[in-house]
Amino acid sequence: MIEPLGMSTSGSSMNTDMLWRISGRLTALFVHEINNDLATLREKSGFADDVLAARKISDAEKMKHMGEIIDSCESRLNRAVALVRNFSHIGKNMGSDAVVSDLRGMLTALTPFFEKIARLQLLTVRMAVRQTALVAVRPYPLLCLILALFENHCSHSMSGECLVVETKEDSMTVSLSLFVRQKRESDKESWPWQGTDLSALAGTLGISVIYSEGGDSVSLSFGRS
Amino acid sequence: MKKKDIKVLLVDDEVEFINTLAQRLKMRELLVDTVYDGLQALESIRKVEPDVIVLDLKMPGLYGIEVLREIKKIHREIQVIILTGHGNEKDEAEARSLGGFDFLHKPVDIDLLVAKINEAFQEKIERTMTAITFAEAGVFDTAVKIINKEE
Repeated sequence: MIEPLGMSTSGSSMNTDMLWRISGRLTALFVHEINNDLATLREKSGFADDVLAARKISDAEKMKHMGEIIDSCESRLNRAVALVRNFSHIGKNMGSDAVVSDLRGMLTALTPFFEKIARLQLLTVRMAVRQTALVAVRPYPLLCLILALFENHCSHSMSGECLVVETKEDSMTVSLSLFVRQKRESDKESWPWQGTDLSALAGTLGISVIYSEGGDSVSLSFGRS
Repeated sequence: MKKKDIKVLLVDDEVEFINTLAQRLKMRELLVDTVYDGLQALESIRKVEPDVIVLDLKMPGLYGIEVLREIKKIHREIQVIILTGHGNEKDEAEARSLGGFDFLHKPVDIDLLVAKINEAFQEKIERTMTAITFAEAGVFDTAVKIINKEE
């Protein structure tokens, strides 16, 4: 059975040590990703110098190389800018009590980290996140919880599997699910669900974590704000 | 010996980074091949034995330290330089204890990397020549220890 990380067994509060550990992990992931972009940009820039200085390369070839280098630098810079922008989204309102949060923005910020964590374990990720998911929660513990659940799920998956991160909503609730591959709706009815009340984490609005007994899916539900 | 005689294998899952680095090393007259994870590296060295491997740590599947351990089991004499954006002191100590030649951090200055590759290659050649001298004199145990960096 998947034991969701980042909360006590009673499910009523988040363990502070765990929160620090996960936030450290998140920072390390961010630094690693940015460093990869910087290292690549540095190599591209060095390669441009090499190409310009090379005697055996014709001017036409040099122009072609330079065009390719500039394009790839631009794309890498855009990736780094998006990473920083999304990470700063994470930083907003972190110390605050329950606020209305853009769940999609939060998940977008986490996507490169999801992809990296999954890739290291030979898994893939599919994000199926809808536009309108706004929830009232304390964003930082929630973000750490989502990351911890995702990492936990990865460690329980087998190489080659696809993890799906999906949001759904109806008139009363917004739910976030993590599961292996796409399941048919009809299957969902028969899953043996267990729920953990996390109302203290959510502040004024209810939030619950639901995970299946077989350990193949986990779901967070929020009251609509 | 010309630089072109040095066979270098680059192992990193950051495809764009490693392909650009490969191009730059080729322009500096090294023979360079690239693979994108640890398992590919282990397959590759069974076919063609490189002189020096430049190895990342954080890669899909096998962690770089495990790859280094396996490389040393297959070809003890291959020199391995760790090049990572992730490694810490514990990783560095472990890599060195497993026979890693050096531990560098990304981004790396190309001239420093080339110098390290040359240094690693020279050490390999000197070690091999010394081992041959001992082997020719019939002192096989010492020759093996020299190759295994035990002496």
